[in-house]
Amino acid sequence: MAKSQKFDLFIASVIVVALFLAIPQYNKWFFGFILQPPLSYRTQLENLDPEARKILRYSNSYAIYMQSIGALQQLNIMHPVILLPPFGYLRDNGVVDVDVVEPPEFYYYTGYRGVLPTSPGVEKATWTIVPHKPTVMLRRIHSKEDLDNLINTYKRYKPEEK
Amino acid sequence: MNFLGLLFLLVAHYLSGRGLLRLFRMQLPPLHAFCLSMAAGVPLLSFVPCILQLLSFSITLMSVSIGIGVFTGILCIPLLIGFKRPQFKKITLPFLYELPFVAVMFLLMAVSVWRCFYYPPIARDMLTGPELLAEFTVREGTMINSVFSVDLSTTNNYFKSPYITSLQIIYKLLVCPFGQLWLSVLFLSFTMWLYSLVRSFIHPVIAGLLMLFFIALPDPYAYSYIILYDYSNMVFFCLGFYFLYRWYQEDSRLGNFFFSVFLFGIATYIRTETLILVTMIAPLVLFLFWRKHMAAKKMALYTVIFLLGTAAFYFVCIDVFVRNFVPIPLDIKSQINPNLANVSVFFTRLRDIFTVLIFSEHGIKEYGYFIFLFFGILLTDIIVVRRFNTMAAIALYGIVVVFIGLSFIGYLLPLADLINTTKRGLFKALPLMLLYMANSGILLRLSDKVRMWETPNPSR
Repeated sequence: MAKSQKFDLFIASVIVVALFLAIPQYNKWFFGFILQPPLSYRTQLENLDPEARKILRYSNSYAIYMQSIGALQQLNIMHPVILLPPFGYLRDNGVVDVDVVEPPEFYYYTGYRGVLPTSPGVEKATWTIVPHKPTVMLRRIHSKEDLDNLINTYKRYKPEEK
Repeated sequence: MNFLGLLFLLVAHYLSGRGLLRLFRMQLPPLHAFCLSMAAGVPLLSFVPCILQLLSFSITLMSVSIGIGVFTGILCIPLLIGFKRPQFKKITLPFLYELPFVAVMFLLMAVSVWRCFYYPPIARDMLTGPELLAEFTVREGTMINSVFSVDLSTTNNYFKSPYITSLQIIYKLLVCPFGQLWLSVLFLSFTMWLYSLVRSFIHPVIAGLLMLFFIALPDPYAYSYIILYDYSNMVFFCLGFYFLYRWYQEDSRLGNFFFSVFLFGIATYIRTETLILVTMIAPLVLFLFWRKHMAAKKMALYTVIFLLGTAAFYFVCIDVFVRNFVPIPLDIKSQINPNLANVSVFFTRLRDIFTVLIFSEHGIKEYGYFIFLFFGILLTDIIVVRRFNTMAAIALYGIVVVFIGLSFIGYLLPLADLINTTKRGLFKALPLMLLYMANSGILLRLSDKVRMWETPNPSR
């Protein structure tokens, strides 16, 4: 007798779970976000290298920063300080899909120091990121005048809230 | 991934947690003891890199491994003193009718663990604080490292508790480059414990459905694999309430009470503003003492222990660790609302919790229908049953503390915004809502009816 009731409860549980997963909010979340996430499990399994996982997670900006830093390393440039432009400046100059990060995040990604136009020690900046449609590139800061011009240009833009 | 390192850490979490449970003379069912040992072992090991740093040892794979070994050995002393041959009790398997729920929960747990392993840390609060510090600690061998030579004017995240920094250091050194898997240890052990507890209160089918609503909370679920403070804080805050209940209702030994103090202390160590919420729990503690007919002197003494015990973790976090590891002065006064006379901020935040965070499209997106379910059941209990058992009453008190406390924190600290700090702070109320529902009068009546139908002859 009890066995049949337990089986009935099992059927009830299956129905309850099915009904739960039929609620639109949970249906979308479970079958979309959990079972078929934007980055498919197949892609994830094909990209197990930590660096590839970072690019997938941190998006194009990370890849571009790392490429730029790689170029500096090839040129054997020691301890560069990179002046980070505001996002609005890049956007107005036709850059798409590249985000600007804060100096601590930039340091985390690249291991190189970045400064904002308003940062203490901004005068030590030796390189900056400039638009190179549709992406960006690194450019050397040639002189103090060059740096002052860049800072004045960048300061016209509001720092982006993250 | 270093599986041997992971195994070493899992054993260390278990043994240190188990030693702690023995120290508090806890007597728990085997599954609860296992899950709680693992969960408690996570914050315990987080103290190791901090102690090494305080003792001026270089933080390397070798020093951290030895440190964990020694620390675990010390915490195992209570286990060795009262060593008894372990009794391997028969494990109770879930009933057939629990399997549909267990299967979905297992799938969600597996996905969470995979994402925790696969993805690097993403939260901005981590990349500009604990994760950044941990990464450069691993590279440079000290927690006071080159990060502090970078412009940190856009963040104050380096002032946060070293809980995550330390665990990230340990897991990066011993397991994998992104660390993080400590969060899975906490998530799995807490979820298993919670399910086991809920099904001990209420029929497993109802418990399974409630757990499904709980584990499928979209936002908290995301933080079961994205490292941040709030999920861990939620776990230990909830455990603190449970052991308070356990001391009052099930097992009067003071070990339960002191363990509860320890758990609230850990919650405070993880997020220091939890101290405000813990202070608001003191009236409940006093009330429980009074209900137990405790002498006034003892009541006062244990309430002071409750408050000071928790405050000690705040002191260790801010005045020992942060002060020694962050070479930038911490000015707490500058973070406090300069216009405290304007209390409307408190009421606005309280209103926004309900109108913006809960009863809104945003709320459904973040929490699904779980909170709606809770309020529906609470309302039914108020109208139909009009009685609350001890666990339900304690959980309700905790939920009110979270709502009021978070509003007060929003009023006191302008940096604690609604959409980030308060939203994630609400996590603390969610397992308490689950515990309430598992002890709801109306659901307990339903549970009794299902049990009677399931087993018509009680003698069997």
